[in-house]
Amino acid sequence: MNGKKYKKKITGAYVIKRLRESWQLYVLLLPALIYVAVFSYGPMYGIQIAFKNFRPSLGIAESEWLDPLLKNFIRFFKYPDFWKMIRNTLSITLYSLATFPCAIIFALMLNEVRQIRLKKTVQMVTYATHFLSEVVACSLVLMMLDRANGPINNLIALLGGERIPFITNPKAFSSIYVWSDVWQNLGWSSILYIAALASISPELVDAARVDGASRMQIIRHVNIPGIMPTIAITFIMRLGGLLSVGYSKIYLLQNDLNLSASQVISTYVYDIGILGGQYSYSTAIGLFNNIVNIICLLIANAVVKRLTDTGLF
Amino acid sequence: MKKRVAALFLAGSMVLGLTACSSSPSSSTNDSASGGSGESASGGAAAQTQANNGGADSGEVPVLRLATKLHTEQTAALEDIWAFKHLEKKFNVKFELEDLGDNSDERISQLFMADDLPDIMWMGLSTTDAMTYGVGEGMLLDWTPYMNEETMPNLMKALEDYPDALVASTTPDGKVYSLPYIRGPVYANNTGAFSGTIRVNINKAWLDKVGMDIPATLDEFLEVARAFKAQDPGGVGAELIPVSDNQNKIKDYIWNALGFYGSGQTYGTNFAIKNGEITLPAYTPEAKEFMQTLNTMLKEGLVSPDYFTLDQDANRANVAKGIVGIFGDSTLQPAESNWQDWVALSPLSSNVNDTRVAHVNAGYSLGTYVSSKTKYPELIASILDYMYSDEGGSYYQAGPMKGTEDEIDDNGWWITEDGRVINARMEADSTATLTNGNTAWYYVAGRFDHMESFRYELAGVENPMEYRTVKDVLTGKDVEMPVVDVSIFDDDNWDHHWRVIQTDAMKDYLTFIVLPPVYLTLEQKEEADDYATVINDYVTQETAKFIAGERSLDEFDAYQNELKDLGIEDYINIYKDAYSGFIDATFGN
Repeated sequence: MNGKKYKKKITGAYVIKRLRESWQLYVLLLPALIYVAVFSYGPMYGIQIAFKNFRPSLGIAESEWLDPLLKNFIRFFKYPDFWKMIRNTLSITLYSLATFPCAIIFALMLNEVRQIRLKKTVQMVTYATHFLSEVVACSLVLMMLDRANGPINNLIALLGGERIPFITNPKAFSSIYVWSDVWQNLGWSSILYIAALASISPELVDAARVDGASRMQIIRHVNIPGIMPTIAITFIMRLGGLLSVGYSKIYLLQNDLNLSASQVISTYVYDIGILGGQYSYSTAIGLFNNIVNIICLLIANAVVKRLTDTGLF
Repeated sequence: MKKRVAALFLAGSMVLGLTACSSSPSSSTNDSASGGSGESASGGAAAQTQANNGGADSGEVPVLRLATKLHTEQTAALEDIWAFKHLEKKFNVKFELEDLGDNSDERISQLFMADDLPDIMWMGLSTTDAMTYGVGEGMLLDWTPYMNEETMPNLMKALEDYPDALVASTTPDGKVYSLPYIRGPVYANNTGAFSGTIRVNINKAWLDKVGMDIPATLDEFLEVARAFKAQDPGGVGAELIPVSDNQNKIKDYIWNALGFYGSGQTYGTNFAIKNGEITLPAYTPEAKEFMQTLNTMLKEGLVSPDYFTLDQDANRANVAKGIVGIFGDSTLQPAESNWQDWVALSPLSSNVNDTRVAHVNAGYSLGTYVSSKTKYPELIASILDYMYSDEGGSYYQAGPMKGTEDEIDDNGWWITEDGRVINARMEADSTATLTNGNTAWYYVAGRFDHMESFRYELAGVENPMEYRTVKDVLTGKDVEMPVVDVSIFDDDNWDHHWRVIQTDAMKDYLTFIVLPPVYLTLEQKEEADDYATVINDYVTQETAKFIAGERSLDEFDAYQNELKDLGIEDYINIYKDAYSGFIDATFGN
């Protein structure tokens, strides 16, 4: 279908005509729209408690506005560990962003495997870890890295080295966090790229081959450009989560000695909001988080759009 | 046209499905108007009538939502618990039970936030919730209008005997939002020895092999650990761990040797008493001694090199493996295969503290609370008042006596010839307790100090308990504590053995009271929370560094100054003020 065909001026009458023409499709879309409205836009009305002294007996609407209105935000910015938490959070998310190409490389490599059975097996094995719960995955990580009995340290000891207490070293924390994530989700995140690679026309590849392109050249000049829009979009989405690190995995890997590297915004929100009951304050922190994330997303979108001509909007 | 209708129908049903999902389940509280006289009509006569006719004038059974959780030792399901069936029958009500589960804190928080509190919260109220939702929001029922001889005679009698429990339950606005759990000081009993003591055990067989005595000072304690390390009396080889710190009990044990007591939680970042003053252990000169001791132990291999990463299961597994010489834990279960080898350690003195002190819990805490929206306040008042009667307290904790009409499914207890109170379950399984199948959460409104004596009385058997005088540290007063002769335990399994050895180790060092609950105003709490999140993490992380040797103890002064810069003195003062108010009100000094 030629996209340009629809780039004519959109009038009200035109919209109604299109709606009439394919109303069945819009009806099918309706549940999804309602879902988003009810579960994503509806709860947004609760954001106002970030600016209110929320009291459950009065409810969201009746609670008083704070004076000053940004009191909760000011409190967060003045919190002594504010910068430390931002630093820890960013060091994990930026590190994680740096491993972004792993799934792409993996997909490209898998795409080159000619033996179908081997390819399927590798795919299966790498997907499987995605379905482990976080608790199990973290226990596995801790077991692997265990100083006394872990296989990695056993190997080091076998080769005559000193056993290394990886998990108590704050410097190793972000590496453990990020690489265990790569291990767990590599196969799963590569699905998108494998699908995109499959949609590249074999004729293009054949043509390149006839022109004498090597395997690497085909990857470089056919495959990568072919999946570039997918890469761009997933990259933008990843940047949109720059300040978001879940607290559960952090808690599972935390211990007294790595605490200096493992305090992030979400663990603070959990402590003070869910356990401490300060909902207005934790909503304010959540809102701050999301605003920063949206700004990152917009910037990333603009930059990527300029560079590759693809973007979210 | 047909197609269009079908599509519309499909779309419509999807939309309806969605809205049905998002609407909240209808309130389960019975909204029958006949039951209660409303929360405004309070006080004596009305409540009495209500209680007498079972709370429902029209014969309709009132339904009360009740949320609780099962004690970890409880093996029965919530709906099978005898106590609730008994209360339903006795007061002609129907409970709609909810198990708050393992994440009860989160669930309680949700119930408050959604303003959807069940009629009865059958567990202890936290002081924070009392301030936030009682004083601040008015979501909790204030008991003061019901606290009179006519409505709650048993409660009034209990509070007369335990005036400090009343003070502890009264918020700064003079109201009472939770009725107290009253256990009273108990020297030892047949459900559990001394709640609140720090339980540490030593392998006596190993100790005999290295030819040493039970340690009495911190230095002797270290010497024993060193001897275990050097001589390996168990012959376990390289795996040997002289001291294992399950549940931070070794840490607490060291703090206690340095002169701190009274904290119900792990020391260090929780407030404790030292020389009669409220202190935060981490911000005292003794903190250096503490870290020095653990640093030495780690350096010399007296604790596992994986000290910071071993979790409870791993620690217990090590004990079970037989490679540990000393361990702290709430029971002897980890050492169940060789339980005969173990004895309990008494509190220690040290070069900075010459008094050996074991504190036992204060004997009361905040108990059950009730929604201010309940339609049946008087009915609930009479149910809770029953819990303060001898029968109510005893029945709740142990079930009915065998052969009485209250018995269901053969759950009644009887008293054996040698004076033990047992039931069919205990007869079949020597580690079962009276509470199995009978009780949900232990710490609820009610009076449980007479429950043992009441059982002997009911059965017409002579009460074998004695009384012993113990000094209350805060007041200096002597307190009479009931004593059960520990010979009532057979001492033929690990579960009886730990009670016997604990009694032995603690009896000469008992002092009374852990720090009372403290009420902070909402502003104070916000301020304290901000300090606490920063300070606790910093203390935990730096303490670990000092112990691990990653930071030199020469920097201790610098560390204390860092804590000062974080505002630790202001933080301490918030609590000091709050506690001093309580102590003044309770003891008038």
